[in-house]
Amino acid sequence: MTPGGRGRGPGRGLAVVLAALAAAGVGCAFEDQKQLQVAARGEQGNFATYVQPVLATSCASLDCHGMAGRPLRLYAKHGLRMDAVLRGQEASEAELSANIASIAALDPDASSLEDNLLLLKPLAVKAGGMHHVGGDLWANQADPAYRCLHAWLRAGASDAIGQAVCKEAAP
Amino acid sequence: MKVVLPGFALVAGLIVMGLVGGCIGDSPEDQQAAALGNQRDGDPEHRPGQPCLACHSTEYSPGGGAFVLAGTIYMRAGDPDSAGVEGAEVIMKDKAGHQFTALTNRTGNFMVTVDSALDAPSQRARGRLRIPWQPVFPVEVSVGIDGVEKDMETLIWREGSCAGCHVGSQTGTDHVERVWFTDAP
Repeated sequence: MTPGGRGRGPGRGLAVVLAALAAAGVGCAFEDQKQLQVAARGEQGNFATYVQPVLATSCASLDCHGMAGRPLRLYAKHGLRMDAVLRGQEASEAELSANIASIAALDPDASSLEDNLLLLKPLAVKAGGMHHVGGDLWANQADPAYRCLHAWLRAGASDAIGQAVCKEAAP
Repeated sequence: MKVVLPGFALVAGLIVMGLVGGCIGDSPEDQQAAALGNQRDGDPEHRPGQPCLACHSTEYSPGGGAFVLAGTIYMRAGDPDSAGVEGAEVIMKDKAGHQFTALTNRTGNFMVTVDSALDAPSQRARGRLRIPWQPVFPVEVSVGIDGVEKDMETLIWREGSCAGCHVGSQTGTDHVERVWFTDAP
């Protein structure tokens, strides 16, 4: 090998490190950009009434998605709060907005509603779901919670059937 | 024979040695355990209020036994760390329908271990409960003292240590008070 060839000299190593750092920087910027482009779906009122109770019951506990650093970070009455003084109170408007944004940002490139990670992760693997550290929450797509979140992603839980299944999922 | 190490190989070797040296004995689990400080260990009444599974989990158990659920029950939120309530019933029911009850020891500690050789839960002295199955999360929890039962507001979905979430005085946006029973003085 010559110094100017494909050798493994310090100069090449440094270049590789710098390239990796540059790539990491680009990756972070891309993630931010994706999140900036995310628009909240549906009405916050519908979300608070129909969807938040389902998330608070099954997803947003402090040992799951109520952890600040976890993907799909969710705020809830007895879980993560934006301010400690809110503990014990229902989720604030700002927290509901943040939850909506978390959902919208979870899988913005999903090719279809059914492929959205929000629906795939809690769905049992046997039913076509994806491995979820929190386990299989829904045996199949007929689970009221699945149908509720599907109704939210589809049309902001604006239809009567969607609202009814949400109430069934979190009475 | 004279061996000449190329400069880059030397630098790379030192970096690798540094990284390996930095990892040995300094895992995240080691760091978490160390952060809990030095206290008397070795019996079921030690370190009340601390996250038990930090040293007693199936993945990391320098403290010996591996627990699946464990913690400390207090009568009031403001009680001292060492003043947990003795004889509280911690009633747990998992997703599979298994129900089991642990009794807290003198410092308020309880701990649940799995012993597949058993046919039924077995309460041992000093807060220790053995159950024959791996609990299936989520787990519902109630605490009973003197015939009064109170339910935990949420389910436990994966955290085996009460103090994983219930950290008392450090309560903030992502933690809650220790497990306490009454707000009466």
